[in-house]
Amino acid sequence: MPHDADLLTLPLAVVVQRCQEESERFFQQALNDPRYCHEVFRRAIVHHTGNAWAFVYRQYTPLVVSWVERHASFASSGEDPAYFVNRAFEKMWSALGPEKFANFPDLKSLLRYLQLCTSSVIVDHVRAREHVHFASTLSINHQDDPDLSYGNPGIEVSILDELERQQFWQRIQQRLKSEAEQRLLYYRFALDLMPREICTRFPDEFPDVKEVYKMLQKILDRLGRDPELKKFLSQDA
Amino acid sequence: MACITPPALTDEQLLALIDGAATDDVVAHVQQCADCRSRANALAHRQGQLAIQFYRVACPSPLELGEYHLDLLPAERRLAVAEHLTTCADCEQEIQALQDYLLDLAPTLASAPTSEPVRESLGQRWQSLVATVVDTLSGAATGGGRMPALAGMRGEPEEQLVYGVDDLQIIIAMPPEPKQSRRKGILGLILGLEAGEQFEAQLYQSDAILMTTIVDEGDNFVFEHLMPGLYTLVLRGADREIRIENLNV
Repeated sequence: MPHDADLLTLPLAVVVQRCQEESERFFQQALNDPRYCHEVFRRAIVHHTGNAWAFVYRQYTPLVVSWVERHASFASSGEDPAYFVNRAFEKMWSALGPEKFANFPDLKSLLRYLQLCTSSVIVDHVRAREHVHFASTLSINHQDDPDLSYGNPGIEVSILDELERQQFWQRIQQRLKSEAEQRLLYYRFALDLMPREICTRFPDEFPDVKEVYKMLQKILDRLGRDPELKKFLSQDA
Repeated sequence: MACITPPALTDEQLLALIDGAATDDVVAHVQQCADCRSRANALAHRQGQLAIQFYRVACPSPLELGEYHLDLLPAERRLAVAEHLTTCADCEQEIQALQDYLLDLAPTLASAPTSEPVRESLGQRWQSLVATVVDTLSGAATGGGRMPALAGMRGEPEEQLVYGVDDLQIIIAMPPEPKQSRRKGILGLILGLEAGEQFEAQLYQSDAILMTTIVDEGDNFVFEHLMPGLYTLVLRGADREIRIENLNV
């Protein structure tokens, strides 16, 4: 077997050929040497060698497809496997730079990370879908029955993009006056807990539901009067 | 517009109404009072906007949750995610599902298919060639030309086999090792390589790879400590592969 230092000097075509052979041996549950495939990943990620990345994509696409199809949320996603496969590789490509590569000493750790990226893109999809669904439930306007309108405020479903949401969240937090207010906002809106649930789950922080409503009212009132936020939060916006 | 039956309901009472947690008298009041109903709707709108925009806003991304699970996060983020997990049931559920997912599908890969041969994907024309014996030289007769680098260094000169294929010649010597009489080495020299052409030498027995080594700058390669038997030698270059089969050590 070559020393690892020898691997670094082998031509790419040799390394990828050996990677393919060793993978086949692996699939046949025979003894194999995973270092060649690790070396291809290294050249793709650390050296940004296009042919190495192209090989990684080709070599492991069938495996990623199998991971996609076996994910619990895939069947209900309404997407083709190829949609998630492409995004899984993109995610790995963008998330795993040369500076992180040292955290992946062997092929198994790299494949596990690729598997994680596969799961992540599917869960990203699930979260986005659930968010839209959540927003749509709040947007239902029971105009024919005003008694049912509370809690269904007739909001247009217009979700800010992720960066805007984070910026908005930061701006709102800056308007809060205490750590308790920040915690309450987090529990109520980021975790979507009702005041009574907040008291049940965090009794040391919030023992009294009336106090929770009182604090919440103060927060909403202050934010509603804030010149920068007023337009966004106003019903007339 | 004013409340029809003052005192008007407080905002706390209206928020409880929005959450479905109001008392019966508050519900009855709002059903009759347009002013309080209007205030309740305004509060519901404000709260709804926040609920929509801040839906899971503080949750780590699925990838970061996974990196936490795989212990790949820097200490600061690891602590932040750990703290978040103490409060967020959604993330806790996701990370549990991920744990099961990675456990079930950890890279055992037993049934995964492989891709098409990479030779085509890299756009290269790959040749696989079998070399055959073209000559046999005795050790004494080889003094004038290039020979495997270590030949002659271990005991008596050995018979050397000259294999030919394409435009290349491969000279093979198999000297016994001095202190291990049954074991031998393979010393090889490739003649006719183009400048800069690099090769790797691999040794197989019964289709199982035993050893790999680099062909050095002098175009030599060496395998040591081999038990007697039949071997297959494979020389792999960037665009061609040369096989020497049934090499009797």
